[in-house]
Amino acid sequence: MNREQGFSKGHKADNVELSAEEQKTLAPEEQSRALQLRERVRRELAKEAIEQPQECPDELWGILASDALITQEWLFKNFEQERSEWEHAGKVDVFDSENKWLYENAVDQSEHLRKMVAFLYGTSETEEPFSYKDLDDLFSVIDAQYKESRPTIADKLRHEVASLFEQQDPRVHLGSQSLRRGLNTGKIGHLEKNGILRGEEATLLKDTLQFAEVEAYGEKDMIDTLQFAANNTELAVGLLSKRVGLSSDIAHDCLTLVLSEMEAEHDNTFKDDDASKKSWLKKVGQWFMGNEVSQTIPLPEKVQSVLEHDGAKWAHRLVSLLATSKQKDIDRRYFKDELYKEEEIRNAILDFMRNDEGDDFSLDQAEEYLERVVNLSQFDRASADDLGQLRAQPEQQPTTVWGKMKRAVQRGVKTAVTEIDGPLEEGESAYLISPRMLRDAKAGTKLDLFVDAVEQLERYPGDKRNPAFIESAQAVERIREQLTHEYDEFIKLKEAHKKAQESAGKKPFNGGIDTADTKATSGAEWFSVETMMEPLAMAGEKILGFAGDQVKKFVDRMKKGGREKRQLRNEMIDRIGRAGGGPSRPRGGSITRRSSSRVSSPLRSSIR
Amino acid sequence: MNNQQDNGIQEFIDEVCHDIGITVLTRDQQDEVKQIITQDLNAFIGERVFFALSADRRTELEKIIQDGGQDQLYQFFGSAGVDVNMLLQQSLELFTQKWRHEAATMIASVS
Repeated sequence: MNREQGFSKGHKADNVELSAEEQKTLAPEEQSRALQLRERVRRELAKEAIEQPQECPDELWGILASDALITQEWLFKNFEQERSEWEHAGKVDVFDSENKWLYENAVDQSEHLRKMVAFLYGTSETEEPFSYKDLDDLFSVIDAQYKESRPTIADKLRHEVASLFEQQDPRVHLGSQSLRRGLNTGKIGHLEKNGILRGEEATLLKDTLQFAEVEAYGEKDMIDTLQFAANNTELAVGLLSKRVGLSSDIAHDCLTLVLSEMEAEHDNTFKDDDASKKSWLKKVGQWFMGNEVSQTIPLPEKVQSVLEHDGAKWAHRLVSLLATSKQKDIDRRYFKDELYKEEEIRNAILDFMRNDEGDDFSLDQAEEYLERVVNLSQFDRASADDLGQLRAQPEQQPTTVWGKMKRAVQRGVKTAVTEIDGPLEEGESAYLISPRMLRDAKAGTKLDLFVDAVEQLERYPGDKRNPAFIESAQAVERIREQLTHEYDEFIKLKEAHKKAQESAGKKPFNGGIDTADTKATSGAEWFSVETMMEPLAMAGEKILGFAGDQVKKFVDRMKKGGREKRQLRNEMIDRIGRAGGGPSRPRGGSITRRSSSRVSSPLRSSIR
Repeated sequence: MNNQQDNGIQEFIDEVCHDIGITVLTRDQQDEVKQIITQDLNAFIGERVFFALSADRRTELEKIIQDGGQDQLYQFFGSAGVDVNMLLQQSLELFTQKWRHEAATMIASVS
């Protein structure tokens, strides 16, 4: 698409956006200019969203979604003001040149960007659904452009590396972005040499990139590596350690661990070759101790045969080991092993749930932690089960508050994604943390907290004069009052909607409730409307009557889920009791026996 | 509706209401919301099942809904070419999620 086409398409889409006032008061050329500027602002917004999808997603989402027009005007003024300041200083050329990307490359991609904006706005502005592939294409194009603009890359890198140091760990994201941008350790070294990145920053960035490289290792790559290791072990270890930036003994450990696991699983396949295996390990050992061994050290033949039959599995295992090692390596060197591991998040959430020690942990903070949880959960998915097994922390079971909240977040995110786009495809999980998904997930968590608090209070058997109890009860009561008002409005809205349909002579197909499904199918007149009221609802009622056992089955499952939730909560209270040094109740005890001083007040901060 | 009360629908609605926290509302409000949810459930199920059928099967189902009884319905689904049990389980799950989403949005707007 050339620039002209880009503009004309953009304008066509935007024509409807001029207000009546603008259409009345602006001259045609002013209208055209307003549209052009608006288009430019849209691109600016999209660019910002693309550049920092993780850094400020909620803020940007909030700006985009809450009041798009006002925001555009605001940005428009600032953009123009800045440009006129440069113009005034006689440096408009510099300004324009610095915004070359915006003027030229973005214009060429206006169709994509328009889709991107539509995606961010959550509208169905585009004719075709916006796919993740579109987004990916967009990233590629933009990344390609960024390659030409070193200062921008450097600024961005500095910012992202600074985030890493501030423990807002976007390492997978940053690493993969860097990979896409074609950054390698050489280029990072160049940035360091020119003083654009400080030494420490450059090293961390290299590590991060290497971590992402491990993650990005393909199956074929790893099978090749294993095959290669079988043929020429020392060279394979050397290359591997260089490529992932791990010491050669760690790379060697990973390789030999995989080989020994292969042996164990294949029922001592290598037993017959014990002597040659020993000899191989000895030679590798010599090599690691610094002895120069240049000749090939072949592995026993049976290793080759196992690799041929089950190579993919062992390749994944090796990737997983390397990724874990790399993660530990980075954590040890930069974060002193304290980088918000699950344990830290769990404790923080426990503190939050307990909240009887002071006011210093707010819902906002809990939500920040949840965002980190989402990031971590991506991390988990990236390297599957092995990471969980190898981490110092035992794999988190949903018996903890952390697990519960993590699940809530994941459920929210996954539901949102699958509802929009159907089942997830490989690679799409990277987009799970879009602002919209996060927002939905947070709302879901807040609901969980509220329902949980209500239940706890209802069942609270202790002294109800306890200040913590009173506080929780007051919090719930305040939310209840506000919800009463909200639901009142909701009921009125539904009634009005129903009446409007009836008075328009349209029989409501669905009791007046708008659903995504019904919206999609409204107008499908499959029943004789004259003879039947609410035909879909009537059909549903009959079908449900017919399939009562299925409903019963589902209800039983729901109830079981509810029981499990309550059990989890009791276990959590038990754990808090023990962790806080307070009187602990016997295992398996009920909520009725907990210490009254440990009443949680999960909603205290949420009512602020 | 009696039929629905007998076979666990009411229980299902109660569970949904509990899950979305509306048990804190006044009794009148709860009743109204429950009614909305019940109507929505019927429509939701009706629509999902209906549109899972082929065009000629839809006409057949329409006739049965108008004139037939539970027996015909039973026979119909026996040969309808869709796994109605699975469809129902999925639909009930989706329905709970839908209302959960609705409630989450509602509570998210409470400051």
